[in-house]
Amino acid sequence: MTTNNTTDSSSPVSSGQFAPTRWTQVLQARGESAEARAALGELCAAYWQPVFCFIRREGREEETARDLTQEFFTRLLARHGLGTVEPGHGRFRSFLLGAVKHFLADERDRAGAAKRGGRQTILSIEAGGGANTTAELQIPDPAGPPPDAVFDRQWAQTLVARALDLLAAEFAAAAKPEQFETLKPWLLGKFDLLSQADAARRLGLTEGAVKVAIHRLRKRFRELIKAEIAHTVPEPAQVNEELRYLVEVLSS
Amino acid sequence: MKTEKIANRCPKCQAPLPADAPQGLCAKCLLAAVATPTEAGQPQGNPSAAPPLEAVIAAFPQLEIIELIGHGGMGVVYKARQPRLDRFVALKLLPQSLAAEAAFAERFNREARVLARLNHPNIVTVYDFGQSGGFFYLLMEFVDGVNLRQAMQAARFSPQQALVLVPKICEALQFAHDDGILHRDIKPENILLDSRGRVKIADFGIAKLVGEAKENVTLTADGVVVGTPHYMAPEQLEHPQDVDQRADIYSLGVVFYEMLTGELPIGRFAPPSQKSAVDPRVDEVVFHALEKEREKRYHSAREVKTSVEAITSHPAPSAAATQPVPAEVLPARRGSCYFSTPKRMRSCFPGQQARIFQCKGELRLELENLTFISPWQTRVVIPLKEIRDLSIGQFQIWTAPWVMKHERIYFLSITFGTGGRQRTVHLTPVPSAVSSPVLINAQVTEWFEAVRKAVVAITGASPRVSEPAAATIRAQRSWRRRAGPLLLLAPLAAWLVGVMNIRSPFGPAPAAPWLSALLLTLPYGLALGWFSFSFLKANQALKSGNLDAVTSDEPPGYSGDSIGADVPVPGESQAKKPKLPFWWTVSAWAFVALGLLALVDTLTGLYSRPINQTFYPGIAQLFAGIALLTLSRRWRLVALVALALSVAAGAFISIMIALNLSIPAAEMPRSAATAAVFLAPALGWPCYLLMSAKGKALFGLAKPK
Repeated sequence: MTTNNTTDSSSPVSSGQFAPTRWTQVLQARGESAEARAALGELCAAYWQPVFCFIRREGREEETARDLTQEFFTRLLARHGLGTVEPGHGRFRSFLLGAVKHFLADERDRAGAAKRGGRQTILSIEAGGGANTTAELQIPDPAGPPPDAVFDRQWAQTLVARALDLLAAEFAAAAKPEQFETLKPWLLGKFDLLSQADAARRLGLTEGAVKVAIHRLRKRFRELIKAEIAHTVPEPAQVNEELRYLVEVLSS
Repeated sequence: MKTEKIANRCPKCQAPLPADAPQGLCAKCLLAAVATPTEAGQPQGNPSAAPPLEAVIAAFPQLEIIELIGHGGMGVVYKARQPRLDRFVALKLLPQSLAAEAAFAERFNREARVLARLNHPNIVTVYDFGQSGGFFYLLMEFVDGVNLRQAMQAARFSPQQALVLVPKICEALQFAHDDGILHRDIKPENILLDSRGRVKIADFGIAKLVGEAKENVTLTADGVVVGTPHYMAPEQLEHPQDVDQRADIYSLGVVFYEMLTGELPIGRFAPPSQKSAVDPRVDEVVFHALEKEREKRYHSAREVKTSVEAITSHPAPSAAATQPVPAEVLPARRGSCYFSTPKRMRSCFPGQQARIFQCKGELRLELENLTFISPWQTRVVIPLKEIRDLSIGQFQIWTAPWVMKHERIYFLSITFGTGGRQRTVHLTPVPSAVSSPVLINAQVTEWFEAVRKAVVAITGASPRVSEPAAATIRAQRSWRRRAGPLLLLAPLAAWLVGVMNIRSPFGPAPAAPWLSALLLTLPYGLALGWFSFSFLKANQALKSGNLDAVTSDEPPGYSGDSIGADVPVPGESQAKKPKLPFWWTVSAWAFVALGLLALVDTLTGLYSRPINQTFYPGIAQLFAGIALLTLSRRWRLVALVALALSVAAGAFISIMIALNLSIPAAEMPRSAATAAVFLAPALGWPCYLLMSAKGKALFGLAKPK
């Protein structure tokens, strides 16, 4: 394990290190094989929340949004093939966001808001309110963050939550849930509020052992996050870039 | 449980935690911790230069360290964020070896205080400085962009771009020199360009701070001279203690030469004009700045600036001819924009506001040009230095006061000379999403200022600005508007005649329907063809991208001057009433006449048929004719409704014919003719309306009221 890590820290270090990640699987099969569909299903199940938040941010009621999200995934998974997605570029995140937008536009059309030519926003140059009666312009809260940002933010949070849950599950499986509970604040980085000595006392370990445990915990968490990201990008090389992007999304 | 402590706030970044925070931890800090390179993570390019990140984070608890953005002989630079002010900053840490020197702290404080006082738009501001965790640090403005080195690598600079940048650098240098501060390390890496194309000079005086310290400690330990030798003046290499502002000027000369040629001026170097298409007069400026003896050099940055600007404001004729297509770095401003020309503005229809635009595209303000990119990706390039007149025009729409307020819409009227001709274009930059006169006018005003500044930056002088009133184009009141309602009385009278069962004095007129069928179809065809033709032709010119074609695309029937000649000041011709083109008049009157003819026919046959096929469509045709004559929004809408009815009736009758229901055989030819009359508009109008958004705008559909 350690030798692997020193050579390439960016490759997904989950259980199946050389197995193709889910999104590459989907892309290679153009979403048509049974495996690919299963992989897509898993991905969609994992990233339900960002889609829901996006639809909510578009100004739908909570119940409606829930129904729409359900409808969206049902339709996405029922569809054969991926249509326009090209293997090689395109991350799952971008794909999903695009698909939701498309879906919502369709939904609007169906709702009868699009009259003849209504999809075209016509810019009147002369006077008056312009095109603000068209369906596209129903922005519920102009002061809030844009829906795309909400989506990306929720995405990053979901991703972190998934990795953290996996980590918790691993500790639980190793019968050390207590250790995880005590040490997890150190995942945030170094700070002085909590002393390692305290933790060592609580866990009945030496301070040196706690240090090592913290180090391992952080390393494993890093691996899990990267593996999780690797599942959503077409190439392993993009993992770090995506990670940086998500950090930025959360800090903005 | 210990985690209760961190239930509400992240202990690290102090941000409030959302209720659904994963495991009660802050997702942001978790991810940031993962992304932070550690000893176990990826090695940095030069680990010996950069102090361990953990140490930096520990030393600056008030900052969120985001990433390492540069390191070199002068220390390392991190991008960081000040959470409380919610701004990004650049954190520069001086080499740790300096801290070993006892006297350094005092000198650092003294020098840094002077640097922090430098406040100039082209100089990177120092927010704070001090000593923390064993680091001497400077907290500086974070410039979101690239440095000149990266910009030069990404795209070759055109000489024009270099000539724009150099005066800005000079301004900053002069400002610092006036305060007695030398930069001592001018090089492309220290000249930053932010995302809006502004120049910022970084690291003023740092070389001195670090350099003196290094001298005292190890001057030649690893053979590295502080500073960057290729950019340093000869005297700076020999006697680093005894330099003045002329050393910076030498460095600037090197940068200038490199921008122009892509090479360093080493040994016997060629004049820039031999290496690139730059004005030969620039050679002299570069050589003067690069004099080996400082006495012969420019004495101040201001002199360099003046020399460069003298060249740019009086372009040599040969320079214009060889002007290359500028590389598209640093578009300073861009946005949606309508394009039009003065003739188009006044042509065709009095009061026809749709004519104030011809097509919508993108407008870009670049270093040297104002460029309109049409939907077909062709370009109308307006060289900024050729702009003779820059004004805000106003287009006023006359509408009946009960329909809407009289709003003025601004547009940019730009007169420029290329190829010995003077041309005027009208540009209406619009906000991308919604348009209302207020927003459009604000946008136009902003662009006006931006273009004016750009022109000043290039030519050193403001372009002529006409009085706004002179450029006003006012749609005119027309007698036709008033005549319209009167004409309405005719079908009303006809209808009354029909209802009251009065027999028409004209008697049966069997030829009339045939004639009306033919004549009604013909003007429709002409009208539709004409509409399509004028738009297609106008846009064809833009598609071809030929400036001459663009500016001579005017529709037939307009009697104005060619735009290639001096453009008449719009205000002067205001007294002249714009004429309705001849064919428009003819076809519109034909509509009315034929509508009446159809009515007469209807009335004469009123007793032999149920309220028949011709009557309502006849009225519809009449309405259409009236509408085309009166040209106000209200009537255009009425006309559309009437036409829609006519189309519906036509379709209905066609079906009746096809099914041969309830129409006697004797009536068949007549019904078929009637159907043809209806089918012509049924096919023609939708085709036209669907053809383009402009069609809709033309008929007032684009504007919900």
